Amino acid sequence: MNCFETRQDFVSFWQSALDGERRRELLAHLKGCFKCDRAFRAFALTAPMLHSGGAATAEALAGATPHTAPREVSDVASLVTPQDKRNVQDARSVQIEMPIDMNGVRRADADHAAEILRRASVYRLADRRSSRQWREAAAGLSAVAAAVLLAYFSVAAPAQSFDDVVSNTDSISEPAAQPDTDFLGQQIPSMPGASNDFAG
Amino acid sequence: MRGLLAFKRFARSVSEPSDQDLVAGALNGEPAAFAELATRHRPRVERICQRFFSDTEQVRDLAQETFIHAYGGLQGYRAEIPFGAWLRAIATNLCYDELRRRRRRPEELVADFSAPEANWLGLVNTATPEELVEAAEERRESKTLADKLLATLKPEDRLVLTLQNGEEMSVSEIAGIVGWSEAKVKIRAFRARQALRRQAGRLVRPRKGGE
Repeated sequence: MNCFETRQDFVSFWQSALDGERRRELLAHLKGCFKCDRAFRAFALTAPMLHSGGAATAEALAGATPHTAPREVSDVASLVTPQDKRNVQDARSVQIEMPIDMNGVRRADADHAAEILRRASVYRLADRRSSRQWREAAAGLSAVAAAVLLAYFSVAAPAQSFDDVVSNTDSISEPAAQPDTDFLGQQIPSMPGASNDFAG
Repeated sequence: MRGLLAFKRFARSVSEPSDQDLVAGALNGEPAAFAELATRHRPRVERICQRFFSDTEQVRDLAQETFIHAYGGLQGYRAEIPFGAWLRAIATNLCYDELRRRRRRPEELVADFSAPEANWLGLVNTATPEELVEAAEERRESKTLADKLLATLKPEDRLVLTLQNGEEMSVSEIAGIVGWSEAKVKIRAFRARQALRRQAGRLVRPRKGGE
């Protein structure tokens, strides 16, 4: 087995689909060829995402869930009938363009579908969707509440209530020096150099 | 045992309605028909999503979204297309959208691993090929590490690589699903493989006595 053939068999080896003789040849080659050994290890880093579950088609057709399916690929593959294989081939031979408008699902349809899936126990995501909505609403409400509280405490509270002012005689005292404002409440600019006119 | 399973499957195929019957039922407003379709195709749809994302919750979210979109677009479904293939196209497009939404992982962060991932990486560098195959099935971190490596690719590159390797689709099939030319699919696949080889190669130590 040369390097090219060895690398062609990486996927089958990973999916335990190589027969005994071929498997032995591949392992012997990897043992003696540093380049292929390194290539296999690099392959092994991404294979769990790209190449695992090779029997998943058979799994799906056999009606088994990924958790209950036998681990041996050959066992699962043996459950698939020729008709199943034809169906898969038919499915693969079809050219499919974008089947639906991905943005075009109406809210009512989406809710209805989620409800059907939830009732059929296919997905409990419908619950999750609604709980997520509740969480979002709760987060929004708490943000509003926090903003209101912040606004309330940031405004200077009156030091005394009206009753306090009336009952407290000390409060009737010399008025504090009024700021220099006119009757419209606008600041009267101080005369430049006015304080110095009488100086010296 | 195997014979019994085969018999059960045969009996089921005789008694159960076809996908087309169920689609017709769902279009007539029978929720049970759509529920049956979802139950029937769920493993396949989830498997496609698993190829793109390692997070189980996300896989389920996307699978459910696939069925929701399918329900919304059922009026436009044409009977000459196998229902499973139609669903696959929807799932693929949803996964691609999600990949585009996600921020791409910068290449320089590729060495930023958790402790289990670092352990797995150590194993990749030391274990025998047979041990690796066995251990990869049992260790979840093998998937998360692979996911991190794939996340360094551009979404289009990752899409092509996943469909070509994981789903074993041909170039023309991929071109049909994503609406690109075959040349573009080939170029994307080539670049993706190159980038991934470069990324993975950085993490694999050369064996003693090797290059």
